[in-house]
Amino acid sequence: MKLYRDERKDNKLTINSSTAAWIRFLRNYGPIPTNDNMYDESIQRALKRHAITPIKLPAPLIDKLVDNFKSPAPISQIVTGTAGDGKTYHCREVWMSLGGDPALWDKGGKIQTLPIGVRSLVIVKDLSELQQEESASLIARFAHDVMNPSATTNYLLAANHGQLLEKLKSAKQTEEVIEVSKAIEEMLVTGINPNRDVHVKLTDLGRSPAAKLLNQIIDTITHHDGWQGCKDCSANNDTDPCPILENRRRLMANGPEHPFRSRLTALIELSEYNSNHFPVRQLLALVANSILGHPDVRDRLMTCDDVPDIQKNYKTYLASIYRNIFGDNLSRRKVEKTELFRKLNAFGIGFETSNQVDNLLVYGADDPGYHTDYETLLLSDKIYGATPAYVSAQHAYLEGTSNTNQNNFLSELRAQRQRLFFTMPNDMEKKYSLWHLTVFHYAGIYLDVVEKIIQGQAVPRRALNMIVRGLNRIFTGMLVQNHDKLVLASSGSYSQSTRSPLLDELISVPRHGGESVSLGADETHGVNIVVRLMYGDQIPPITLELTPTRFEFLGRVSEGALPSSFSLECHEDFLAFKARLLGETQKRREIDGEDQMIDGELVLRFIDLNNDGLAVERRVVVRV
Amino acid sequence: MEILDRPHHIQERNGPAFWVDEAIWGHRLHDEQSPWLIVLEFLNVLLAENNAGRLLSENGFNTLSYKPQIQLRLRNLVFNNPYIVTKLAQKTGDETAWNDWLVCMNETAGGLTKPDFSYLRQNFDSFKDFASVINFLQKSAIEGTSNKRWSSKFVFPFGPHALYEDLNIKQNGTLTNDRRFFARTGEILYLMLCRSRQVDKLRTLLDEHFIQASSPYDSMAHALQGETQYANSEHGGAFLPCSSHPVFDKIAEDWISILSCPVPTYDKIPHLVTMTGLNLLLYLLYRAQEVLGVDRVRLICEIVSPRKTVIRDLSGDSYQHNNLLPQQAIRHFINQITHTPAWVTAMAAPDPRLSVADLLHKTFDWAEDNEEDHITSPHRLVLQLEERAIIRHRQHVGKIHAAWSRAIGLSSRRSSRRTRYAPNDRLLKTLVVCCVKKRMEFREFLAYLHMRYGLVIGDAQAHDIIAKGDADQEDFSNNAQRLEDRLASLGLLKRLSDSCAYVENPFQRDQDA
Repeated sequence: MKLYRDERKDNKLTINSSTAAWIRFLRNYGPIPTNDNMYDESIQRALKRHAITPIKLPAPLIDKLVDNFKSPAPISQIVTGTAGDGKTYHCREVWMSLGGDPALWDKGGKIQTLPIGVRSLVIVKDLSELQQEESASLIARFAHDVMNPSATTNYLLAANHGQLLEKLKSAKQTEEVIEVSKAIEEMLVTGINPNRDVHVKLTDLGRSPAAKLLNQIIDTITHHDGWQGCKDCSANNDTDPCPILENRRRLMANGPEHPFRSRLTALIELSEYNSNHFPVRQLLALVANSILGHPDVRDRLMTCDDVPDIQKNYKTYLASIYRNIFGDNLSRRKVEKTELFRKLNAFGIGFETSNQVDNLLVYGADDPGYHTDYETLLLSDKIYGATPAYVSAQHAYLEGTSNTNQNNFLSELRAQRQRLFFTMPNDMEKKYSLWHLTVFHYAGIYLDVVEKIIQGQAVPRRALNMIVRGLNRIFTGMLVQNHDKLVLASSGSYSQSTRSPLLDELISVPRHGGESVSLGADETHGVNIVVRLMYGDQIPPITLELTPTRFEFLGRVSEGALPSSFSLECHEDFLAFKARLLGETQKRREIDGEDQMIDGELVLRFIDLNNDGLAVERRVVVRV
Repeated sequence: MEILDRPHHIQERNGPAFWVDEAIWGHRLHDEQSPWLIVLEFLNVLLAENNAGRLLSENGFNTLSYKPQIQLRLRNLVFNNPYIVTKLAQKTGDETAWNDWLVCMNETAGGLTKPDFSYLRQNFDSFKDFASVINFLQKSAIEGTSNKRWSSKFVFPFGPHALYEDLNIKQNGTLTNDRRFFARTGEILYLMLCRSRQVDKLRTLLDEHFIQASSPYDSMAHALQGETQYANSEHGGAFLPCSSHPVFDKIAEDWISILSCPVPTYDKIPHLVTMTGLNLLLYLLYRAQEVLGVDRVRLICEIVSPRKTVIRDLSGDSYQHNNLLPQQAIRHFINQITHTPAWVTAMAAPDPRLSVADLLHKTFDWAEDNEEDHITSPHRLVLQLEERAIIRHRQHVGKIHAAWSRAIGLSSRRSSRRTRYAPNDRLLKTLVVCCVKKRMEFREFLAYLHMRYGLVIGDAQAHDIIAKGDADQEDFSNNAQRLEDRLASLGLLKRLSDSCAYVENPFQRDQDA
């Protein structure tokens, strides 16, 4: 044992210094207290100091912006986004691509002007840096120039949404400023410019797809040349690999037999469909924390110097990348305060589980029925899977010696569920109900549906049936089974009441007589439930965005089991949707000249359930 | 704002024993009348006054006198009709079912001199159809699951024919208006709206929504009821002490904005009910505060958090504080008399006790009974009145804050033993529908709720609390953050980034799209 330790001491000496600097630099992107990682400016300084190749981030917009400003009739641009979306980065790249002097830029002027031929371009990398008077006069000039097609000055303004609105509101409210403000506000919310006279384009970096960005960031970071020194580092050996390098290796693996990356991007995608956006900075923090996270080191992010001690204390398993994704290396308080981890932990991965998975994890070692799977899913991973810590906790738990054992094992169990979510091979996904490891049991189907829709393929029948049945149950408040017709019911009184015994209309799900219920994509790549009532455009289709949460709600309702956590939120949404549908069917009846009262007879259509649970209509006539 | 005296032209036999609660808040606010029933009573007054050609106009303060509908046949059919189920279950055939049922019904119907329901047969094809319609009306009843007496249950206000007043119908068939659940709070609401500045605009809207509107279900109620029945006598005696009040204008504004939403009237009523409840609650507190001359009332709201927070304590304190305000106002109001010139004069009289008793009688309408004979000190007499008034106050008016705030979803004991202000999703939705025209910046929305209803949610509204050190800015900004998340999950908020979000009215937004 003594010898072993001494060996490690020697190893410490062979750490490559340039790699160590790179790791320290990468660490700055992680969730560390200094918060310095927030700003492009400080990153530029650090890069210079350590002669590190800059991390080249994907910025698909830069080309578009540059082309625009080079064109004969450029339009002024506003770039908005959340803190960390890369606004400053974009401005800097545009400045350089258009021939601006980097040295001049780095002096940090708040308002920079660049001549382009006879025109000039004013770049403001952060509107909020401007003093009240500065911004007021800038906004006034800006409003004047964008309203004037013959103006020769164009603008590139960057600001986050709140600041942008604040600056517009605090400027002197001339007619031009008011017009421009109105247009910008509308563009912020709806993405559409309502006023053709306002020559300005607004780009929201918050709307670029984060899943794609994440893949690019992972590739950029894991292939960075800073890693080259690892080759001859002695912390890296086969029996006890360096956790940093191990995490990097797992992150790099991509392809069908390595589901990790696709599962991670699936989570990001689902979050985004639930309108939780991940700015670039958060994605960087996620990658940095995934690779470097460990609960026992300073700031809970490893440096190269920490590795020998971790290995010495047999704590490598705590650096598990699958735990780090959810910030489990950090304190609970920190996790709750960090938006990134709040969003990822909303999936409940580690807490949610299925019987099969838990049986495997608890009894798998001894149960012959689970033997092969236990081998594939746990024993094969000596580093983060069947680690000595896990095996002994499992043993102690099954022996049931004390309460501490139980808690200890529960936390191990959590880590394993997290790991299984990311490593379960695709062909075992069904058997172990992979998505039951999250709160979104139907997320797998959801992603499948979204992909099919985007590719223009037919939506799986099963998914549509599930949606329609779920809607029917919510609309009627009864356990109806219909899935080929949308049962639009009303309570006769207010739409919020839970039970609706009166039939309004049965709307055919397959195309029939102008009616149909389908799923479709919209311009922002969201998925919508689309209900059509008529041919032609007299009544436009009624749509409802189908987020993963709503999809989950419908799925659970259609199977008759609803966890209380959904409570009111989705239910209210769907009732509001029903209210809209009821309004439109009413309109259709007016167009068709139908009336509920004919010659003093009022027809009430009650919904009865037949023996198969199908809703059938029963007409009752009241002479009034 | 002028504070009006008690009108002496109407003296009720069973009127209040003394005039303290009523002098501050009016005759009367009542805890057992839930916001739903307040609106129903209001609609009854509205309809009756419309029939008398006085829609929403008060000819002289506190002269309201109206004759509401009682619709005895309709309410018997819906709420006092147990036989319909048994006759249907016996499966005796349509003819027999009708006949058997008619016999039973004619025997047991309450409050009707010569009940005869045979007219119904021509309205329906079968007994089963009739039963379905009755079942439908029962299911859509207001607070239908309550265990109130049948004569205090109400069908949904489909239209003019579905409206009737609360009654006590005795076994022997006599009708009395015991003001149990229609305790005049609806009359108070009517007077408030009459005295609001927006009365003309509101009049048009109310006429359009509740008087002129002809709904198919209303004609069904008409068919069941047959000819409209009215109360035997005029109802007078309602009293509202303020000639005008900012709250009156706010209620009217809120009603106008809800009624202007492009949704069916039925869907507007629950929102009207909630906002009425909230505004009347604020009226209760504001009046107390005016009597006491203290700072502006505010309601610190916790947006329910999974764990205990500082805000939870503060909102609990705020709830407790407000809960006691009306009672403090009562004491103060009575004690004030000892600082008046009339008091000095009375004390200087040869028999101060007698003259003070006389003064108390004149001011508070308090006729001391024989029990007070032993009291010799005039000050003890005032104390005595105070005690009596507090006891009476606690029976009803003192319970309003708790009862109504729970009824509209403003207060809750969720994950705590203490009641606190913790608005639920329904109330939040109503607030958005009412306050946001199309869309409103989130911070602006918080400021608006504070300005208008005294609701404290975010840090910008809690400056002084934070300055005092009772909470950190972060506590309140987290609270606001939770509201933002809550609204987003209800589909009422669109978030642009971490620093900017818009609250959107679901109805008006769809109109624009």
